[in-house]
Amino acid sequence: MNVNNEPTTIGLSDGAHTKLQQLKEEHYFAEMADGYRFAIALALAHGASAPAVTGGRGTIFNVGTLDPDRGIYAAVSALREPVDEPVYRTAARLAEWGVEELYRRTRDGRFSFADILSEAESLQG
Amino acid sequence: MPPTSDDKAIQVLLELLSREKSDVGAALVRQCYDVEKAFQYDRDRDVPLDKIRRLVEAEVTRQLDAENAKERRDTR
Amino acid sequence: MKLLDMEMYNFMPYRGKHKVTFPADPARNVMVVFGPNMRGKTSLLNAIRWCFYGEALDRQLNPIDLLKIVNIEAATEGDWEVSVFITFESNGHSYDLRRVAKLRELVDVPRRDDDFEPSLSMRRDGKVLLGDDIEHEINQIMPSQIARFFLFDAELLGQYEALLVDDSEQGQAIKEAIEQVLGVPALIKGRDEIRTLLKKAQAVQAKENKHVEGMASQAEQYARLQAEIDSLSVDVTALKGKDAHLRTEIAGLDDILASTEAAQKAQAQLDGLLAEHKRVSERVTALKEEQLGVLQGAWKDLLQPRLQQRLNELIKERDGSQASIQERGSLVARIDQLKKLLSQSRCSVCGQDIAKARREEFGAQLGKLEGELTAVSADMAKLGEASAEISRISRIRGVGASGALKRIETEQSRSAVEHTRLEGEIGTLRRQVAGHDTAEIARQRTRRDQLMQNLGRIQEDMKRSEKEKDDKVGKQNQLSRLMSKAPTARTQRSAREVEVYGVLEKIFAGGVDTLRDRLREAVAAKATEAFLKLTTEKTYKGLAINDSYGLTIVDRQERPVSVRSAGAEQIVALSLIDGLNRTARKSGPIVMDTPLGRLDPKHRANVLAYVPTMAEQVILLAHEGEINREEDLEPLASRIGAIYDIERISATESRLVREKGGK
Repeated sequence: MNVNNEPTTIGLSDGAHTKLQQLKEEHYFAEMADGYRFAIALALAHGASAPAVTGGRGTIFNVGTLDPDRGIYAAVSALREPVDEPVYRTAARLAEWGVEELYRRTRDGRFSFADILSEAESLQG
Repeated sequence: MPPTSDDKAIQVLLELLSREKSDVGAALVRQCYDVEKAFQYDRDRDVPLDKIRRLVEAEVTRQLDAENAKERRDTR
Repeated sequence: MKLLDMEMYNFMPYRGKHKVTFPADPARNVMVVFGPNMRGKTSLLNAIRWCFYGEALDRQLNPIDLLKIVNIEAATEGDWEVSVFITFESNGHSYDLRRVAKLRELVDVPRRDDDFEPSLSMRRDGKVLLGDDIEHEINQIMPSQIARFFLFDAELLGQYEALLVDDSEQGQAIKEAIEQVLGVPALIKGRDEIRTLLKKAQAVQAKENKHVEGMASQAEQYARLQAEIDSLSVDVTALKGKDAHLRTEIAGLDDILASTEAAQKAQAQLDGLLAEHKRVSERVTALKEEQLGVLQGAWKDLLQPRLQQRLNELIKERDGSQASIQERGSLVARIDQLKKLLSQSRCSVCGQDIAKARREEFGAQLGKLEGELTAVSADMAKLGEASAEISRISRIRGVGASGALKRIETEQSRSAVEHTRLEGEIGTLRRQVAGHDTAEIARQRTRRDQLMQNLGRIQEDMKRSEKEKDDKVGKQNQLSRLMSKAPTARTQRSAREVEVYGVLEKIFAGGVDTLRDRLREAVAAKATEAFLKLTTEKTYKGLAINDSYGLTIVDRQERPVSVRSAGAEQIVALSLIDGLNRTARKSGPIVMDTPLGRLDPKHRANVLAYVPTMAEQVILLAHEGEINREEDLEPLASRIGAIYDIERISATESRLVREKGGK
């Protein structure tokens, strides 16, 4: 369904795709979609301002498959800075940031999903 | 000189002999013991066995001769 | 027996010819040989052993190869000949004993003992003894079976302690050795030999009685029993053979299993750890799966804080909008009311004309309300949006990921540590087990167990057969006695022989235990005499002896003193030696190798004072740490017949030097 010019597919740049794939192969996530959603949420939790996506579109998800209950849509739409852009396009930018951030953290040695979650709580004070 | 185990051994044998009602004399027992004493550390047992056998044979011959002599005297 | 002198050639550290002259004067019967450790004291002891018995022994009492007996320096120069000559006196005779070992013809460099040609010669009072007679002669003088109690080294002490454990194999061996010293074998062997001759005589008697009236049936029974006994003997011999064979096989397996015991233990541990490792690995996998499952929805939990904040904002917004709408509604209603009033000249309620002033008041109110109305915005669309968003956000519910992930990660961390520990231990154990075929070891263990079972069965069979034999022998003895009572027996040679052998067998057999008991008492008494002179402890009453010749110290209240120091053990062992010496059939020189090492100065002084009384000749081999020449030997000076020093020439060569001033 194409509401308000929303894209029907959503993806990552080649670089971010490689990283997300690596994270999946290293068993951080069962599926790349799980990582993608988590990356978006991570970016939103940190209030990241994500730049435009460049460098090709490595990963392509169908938004219906990625976000069947439109939870991602609702969250991004609720939490993003007001911007005149389709929600899923914002989501894609957030995902890009989130994947880079996740990848960086996993290379640091001590990585903990539980820490990421409690960090998000403390960010809101 | 206090009795050594040699003497003890023959003492014991003669004591036991004194409890037996038999014609076996102390001399034979000493002789048999002397053979065993001399050969107790030897591996080859044929020699002491043979010596004991001869001693006993001689003793039996002596006993039989003595009885025969006694019989002859008695029948005269 | 009294040693006169000893000449060694190339014997152990003594390269070339070395001579020792033993003290001959009974008043000066002590010889002391000083030498540091590893210089050749024990070699002197071994020279005597080798000359008499053809055997030199190491510290563990294992025989030393001839190759190692020949002095290394001499051997390096191609001189492989080794010999020891000893002259001595015994029972009024003088003896010259010579043992030599030379390389066999055509052998340049020996590789094993067979490459040597040994020879032994003995002269008694100048006359040469025949080869076969030499061993017999030595057995009359100083049999090898008892030599260990006279060629006495400190290692004997360790063996002696085994005597205290009645059932130990080593204790049994020492007990037999002591009985050898005391002459008990003379009765045991006598009993056995007489039994053999008795059996033969009985067989002859039975044969003769076949033809004697009234005795034929007894004779026949005897012969039949003999056939059965012979058959049983064959069985027993076969069983003994199997027993020996099994024991050898079991011993072989025991050696293998002992050498692989560590590997077996390691394998058992390894199996346990591998099972644990598997369990941990499975847990790790399960945790990962659980974690991946939780992460599918964790993005929702990650957003909750911000979503909650946004939700709060939206609710505030919605409530605000709702309030505005309500207010607007109320304003509109009031405005309408006022407008209606102003459009009428009469009041709809009372019907009266509405006064001008009143009309002006209403107009002013209307103006005010209309002003308020414009200020209140009622954006239904905004309310709708806010409500919709609230609804959307509220549907994003967390899955409790935070708690779950924390728990999972904690457990993952613990499992990782456990995993690492296990892998380390498994690696270590794998290395221990490497090179061992543990399946083969298990097979051997099973085989050994089976062989032990077989051995048990064979021993039971042997016992049964021996009992059957004994029963039949008993019956034979009864028959023999019957036959001996026959009227013809008086003149029958065989009957007489049976009678004589019977009496001899009885007294020799009975004598064994009686002699043992008396000798044990005698040994205990003599050992106690010695002990009381050697010990410094005044509360000790003496020594008590057990069936295995183990000695226990007993205090004045007749209580056994259970804990003994190494020094006390040494004193007790010396007391036993002395007790044996005085009780025994054979006494000879005592050669003591480092006997005083574990003694304190007072005990040492007691031992040194006592030593000259222990035998006709006493030879002490000691180092200066054990015996101080000036202090310790001074009280002994009048009893010392010779002092030698062992001097080091090199690491592989020593020499003996007789001290000037010694006799």
